[in-house]
Amino acid sequence: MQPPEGGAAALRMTVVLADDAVIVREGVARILADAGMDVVAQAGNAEELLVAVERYQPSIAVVDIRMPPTFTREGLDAARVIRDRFPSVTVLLLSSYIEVQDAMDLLGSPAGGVGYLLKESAADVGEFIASVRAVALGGAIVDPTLVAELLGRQRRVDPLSELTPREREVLALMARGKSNAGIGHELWVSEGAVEKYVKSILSKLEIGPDADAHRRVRAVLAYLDSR
Amino acid sequence: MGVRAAPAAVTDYDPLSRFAVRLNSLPAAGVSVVLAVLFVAGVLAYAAATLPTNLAAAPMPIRVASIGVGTLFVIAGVIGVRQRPRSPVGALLVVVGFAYLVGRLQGADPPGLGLAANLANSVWQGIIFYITYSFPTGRLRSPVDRWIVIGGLGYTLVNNLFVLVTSPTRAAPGLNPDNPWFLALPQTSVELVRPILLVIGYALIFGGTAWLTRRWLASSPPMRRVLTPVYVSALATGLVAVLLRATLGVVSPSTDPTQAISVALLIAYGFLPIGFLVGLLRAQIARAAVADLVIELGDLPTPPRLRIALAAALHDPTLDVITWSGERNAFVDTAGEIAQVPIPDSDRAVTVLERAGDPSAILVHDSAILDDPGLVTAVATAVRLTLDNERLETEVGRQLDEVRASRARVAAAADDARRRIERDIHDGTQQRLLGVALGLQDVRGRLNSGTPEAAALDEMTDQLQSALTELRQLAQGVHPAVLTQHGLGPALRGLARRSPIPVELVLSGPEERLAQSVEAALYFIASAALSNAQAHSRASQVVMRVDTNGNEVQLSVRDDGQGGAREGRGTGITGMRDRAETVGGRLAIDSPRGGPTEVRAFVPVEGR
Repeated sequence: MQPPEGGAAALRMTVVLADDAVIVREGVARILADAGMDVVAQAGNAEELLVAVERYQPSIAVVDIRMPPTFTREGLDAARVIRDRFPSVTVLLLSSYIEVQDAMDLLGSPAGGVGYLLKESAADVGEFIASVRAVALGGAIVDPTLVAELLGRQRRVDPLSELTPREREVLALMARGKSNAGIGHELWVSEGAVEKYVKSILSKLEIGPDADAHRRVRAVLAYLDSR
Repeated sequence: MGVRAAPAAVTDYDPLSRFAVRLNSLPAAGVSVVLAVLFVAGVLAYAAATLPTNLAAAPMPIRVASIGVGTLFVIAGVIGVRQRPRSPVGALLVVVGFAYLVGRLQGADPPGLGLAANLANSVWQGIIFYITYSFPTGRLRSPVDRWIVIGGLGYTLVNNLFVLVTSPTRAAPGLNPDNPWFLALPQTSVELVRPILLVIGYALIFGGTAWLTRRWLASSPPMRRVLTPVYVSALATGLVAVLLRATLGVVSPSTDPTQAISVALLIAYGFLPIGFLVGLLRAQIARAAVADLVIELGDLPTPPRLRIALAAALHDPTLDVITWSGERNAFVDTAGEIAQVPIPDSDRAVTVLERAGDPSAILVHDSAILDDPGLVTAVATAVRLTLDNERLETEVGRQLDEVRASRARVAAAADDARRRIERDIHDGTQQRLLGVALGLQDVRGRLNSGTPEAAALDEMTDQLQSALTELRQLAQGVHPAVLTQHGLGPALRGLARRSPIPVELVLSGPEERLAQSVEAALYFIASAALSNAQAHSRASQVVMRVDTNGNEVQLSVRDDGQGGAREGRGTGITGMRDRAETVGGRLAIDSPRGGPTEVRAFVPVEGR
């Protein structure tokens, strides 16, 4: 646990970390601390995680999906409990491998503030910190590797072929959970332009527009997975 | 496996029959031996018909009929030998025929020939006794049989000699009419002996009739069929011979004063070889029925079916088959219940079949069947074949089950190992590498950008990230975690996503989890089929379907490529087939030259 640095504690992000691999946990904790976040507790399993979340009510819980005792989906189950019981606590799920089903399960939470990343992406510190921040602020984040896999699927008759290259770029960013503003920032265009792209994409792919960021991600992922 | 019969061993022939059997089993040149026998018989018949003998004095029809009877015996014997080479009866009938023909030389010169003819008559008559009482086995079963046969032989010997020495004349034309063997016995002693011989003759014929009737009544229906022609012809002939000759005091057909009596006797004699031959062939038919039975039983005659079939074939509804059960260390009946081996008595016989010196099966049957050792052997063979067949079937089935189970275990162990490797990579190596990468990043964060150290650390981090990605893909290939976590459908979706060829995935039916072994088998078959399509088929599209049909899951991977996939060319088809069969399924590959190729796997839902 890191001591708070300076005043304005309320503005600082508080983090609870859960991972049974100490070496990873410590590494992530250091990176987050370096980025000015307050890692208030570390847990080695889902039970400890829930206790720590209840006690500290952190801004975000960064959770490994595979933890003792079964090393399967303890992290995912804990994430759903957290989103259910502590709506103010957001969850970023880390996993050694990525599976659409897990992402969909996580995005099925009633509100945003969830993220699903490949664990190894933590080594790309800048991107990782940005993702943690985005989730903590109520966004929805999906690992670009998963999105790339879904988008890269070969189809003979591919509805995505109707999209312009620009629209495909926008779609990929939508699937990763970027907001319209985030997409505009990424592509150096105005938010209004992004809005037009999004409308066009959603109508071409016949996906209903959805105000909630995380529901939009889910719809796009579901579309990409099912096609 | 040996045959041991109780109460008497089936190979226990009397010396005479053993000799006859040995004669029969001589390496005979078939037809030439038959011709030689008939030739000798013909020479004898010619001699009897043309030499000056008592018979030559008889009218022509009687002479022809006499020679005919002898020849009939020889022919019946030859047929018997050829049709039933294992029975002594055929050979004995040939001997009877020869002796009968020699016996037709009575009254010939030199006197030694006449005496030999007289003795030959005793020989064939004695053999008739023997055949009758030992039919059809060639074995005299009881002391009564032995005494009757010995008594019969003695009676014919004494009676024939008595007739010879009490006849003052002979009838041979052109010879001295004085009988050279005539003894001028006192008339009183002749008058005394004649009724004694008569009484003995009566005793033999009526006692024998009673005895054989008793045996006939005790026999099973098929055995009666065999015995009837023999007993009827033998007893009728004996009765005619004793009654007519004794009451009229006549000595032989050739010196018979009344031609009618001679004709009657000759007819009776003629029935003997026919009756014996019919009995002999009927015994063979009974055995052929058992042989047919074996064929009819065909494959897998279970012990209950065998028992019913044997009982029907042998007309013995009480027949029982008791088999040895190695598992239960006890004898069991056809219903599988533990059975006691009955103690044989006069009605029930017990035949033990052995395998490698140990009893493997026991037949409990009517002891009449023992009358024909050939029949017992045939039945024993039928039972042995059945049991051997069943035992081998069981054995092979058991071994197959074992091999299947062991193959399933090997496959399951391999799957377990793959799962473990995947977990070790994810939870061990990957974590460590990531920990190192994070440590490097931590250090990197304290360095100013632009320094050579920072650049080196960035480079190392990039390398580590590549390694992590490769490791993740490796683990995915070893055993996709999604298969363990989410099952076949999501795993196949992942497979389809990553495929360079477009894959149309159609999952029908409820997406419930299957047995782990089944999911693994189908996943790896699909994966291998997809790799084949990529590597060999030049396909532009693959359709992958999974259908659950009742208790069977069907996987189909169909491409639009050039086809021509054959097993054993590094295509992994054998591996796919093994995968399917390991979980109790099967693989079908349809890949005509020119395409398309379809690989289909059918696997039971629960696996093996």
